[in-house]
Amino acid sequence: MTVCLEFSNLSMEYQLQSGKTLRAVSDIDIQIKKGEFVTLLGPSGCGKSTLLKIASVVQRPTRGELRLNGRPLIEPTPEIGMVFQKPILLPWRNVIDNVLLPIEMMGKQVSKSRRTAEELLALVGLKGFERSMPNELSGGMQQRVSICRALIYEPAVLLMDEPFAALDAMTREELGMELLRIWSEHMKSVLFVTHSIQEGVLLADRVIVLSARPGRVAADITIDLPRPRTFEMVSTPEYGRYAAQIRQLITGRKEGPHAYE
Amino acid sequence: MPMNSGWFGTSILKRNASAIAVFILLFAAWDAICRLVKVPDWLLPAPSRICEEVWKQRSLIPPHLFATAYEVVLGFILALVLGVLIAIIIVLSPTARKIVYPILIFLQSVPKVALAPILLLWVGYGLESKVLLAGITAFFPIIINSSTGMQSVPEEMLELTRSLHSPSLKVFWKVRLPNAMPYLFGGMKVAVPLSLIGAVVGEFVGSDQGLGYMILTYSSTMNTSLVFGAMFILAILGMVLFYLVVVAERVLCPWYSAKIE
Repeated sequence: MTVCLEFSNLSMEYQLQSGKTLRAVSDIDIQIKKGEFVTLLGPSGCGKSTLLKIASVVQRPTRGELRLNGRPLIEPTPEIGMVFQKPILLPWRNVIDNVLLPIEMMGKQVSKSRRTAEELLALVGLKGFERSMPNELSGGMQQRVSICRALIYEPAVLLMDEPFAALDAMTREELGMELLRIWSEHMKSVLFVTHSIQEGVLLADRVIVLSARPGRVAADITIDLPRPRTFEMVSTPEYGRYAAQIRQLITGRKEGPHAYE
Repeated sequence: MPMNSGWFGTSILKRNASAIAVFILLFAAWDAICRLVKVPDWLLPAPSRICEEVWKQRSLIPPHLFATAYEVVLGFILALVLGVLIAIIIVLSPTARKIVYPILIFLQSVPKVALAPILLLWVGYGLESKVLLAGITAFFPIIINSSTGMQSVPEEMLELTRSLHSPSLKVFWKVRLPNAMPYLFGGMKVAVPLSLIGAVVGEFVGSDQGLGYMILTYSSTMNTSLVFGAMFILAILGMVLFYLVVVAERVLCPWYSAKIE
């Protein structure tokens, strides 16, 4: 498979007010292939968010390069879609108009994408809610809308910054599986940042574990669980091995697979 | 909250029943005390005496009321247009913000009462000076609130529009301006009573009509009942205008009113 998004020898330093430099991430080499689902895990403060900010070209790295389909990426592009921790919907627009916002913002003809928007909403189980206002929806439903909004303009890569972190555990599990279903139909490359080892393993083709600050790639683990994934896989020994290995990398301790579940 | 539960008629009475009851009770107590202690009318008239006097002079009041209402409404509209325009300039151009802000704060720090004689000198004793004074007194909160609203778009939303290469004018119309609406209405609620103050101050300094003029005239002839009457009519005028803003807010930002209900 061809490489889609590539972080190449990339470092990011921040100038602190005290005059010191803070190195957030260091020597990052990550390649995400076309259609691959990669999750990014690590202790808090390891620079996961920094990497996403660089990937969305909100920030430029101090050293190294970001490449998309082989070309250096130096300005924000619609090729990179974003799903944030919060849904960030416009409260004065109904659901379908929120999904269509990117089309409008890109200056494309909205009427042509209306069908696509309806199909996407149906795909995430929001058929019949097209005209609802965001404040009439639950947090999980709002996040589904924001996923549709990211898919409508067909970016090559989807960046997801702990998109389910603000949701309750049940909704979170449900949405994770739903995301996999959408992903299997749309075959985007996904870079998914999470704090949850379970989420990280269950969703991913590959889990990239970052070390504590400055964040470096501590491990790049291919998850060989069969697809489609299900929740029941959490109780398989394979899953247990992956989870234990990652937990050990993050905490630096050897614990049973369920010690922190 | 659905919009259908009536705004007019009985429901407004029902909803404010406790406030109305307290009001009636206070007025009754006031009336009783005035009668029992035999407070002279020129010092503190009983509410019943105020009503009586207002009723006697009922043909006299409407022209004054309309004159003041006209000044207040025009002044308020002036403040609104001016305030929003300046806010837009402040938000769109950082250079303009650096220049305009200190001037605004200087202007805001000048007591408007001190400004009144000068304005009268410049634009005359007619309607214009009152409208100008009402406008100048009221436009500050509108500038502050609407510029805050335009600037408080979530950072993620701005990242999204940047990645879509949206023209900033489009972002302004589709995101910043609607985002500022609830803030603008907050500012308008503060501005209504301020424009009332501005108009009355203008009338105090020089005019031949209006409720402010009425207060001045009748206090010089010791007709305190009518002074109180004019004051209450002013208060009612302010309340009516305030609730008009509230109704406009409900119609124009239903997403927001639903949240604060």
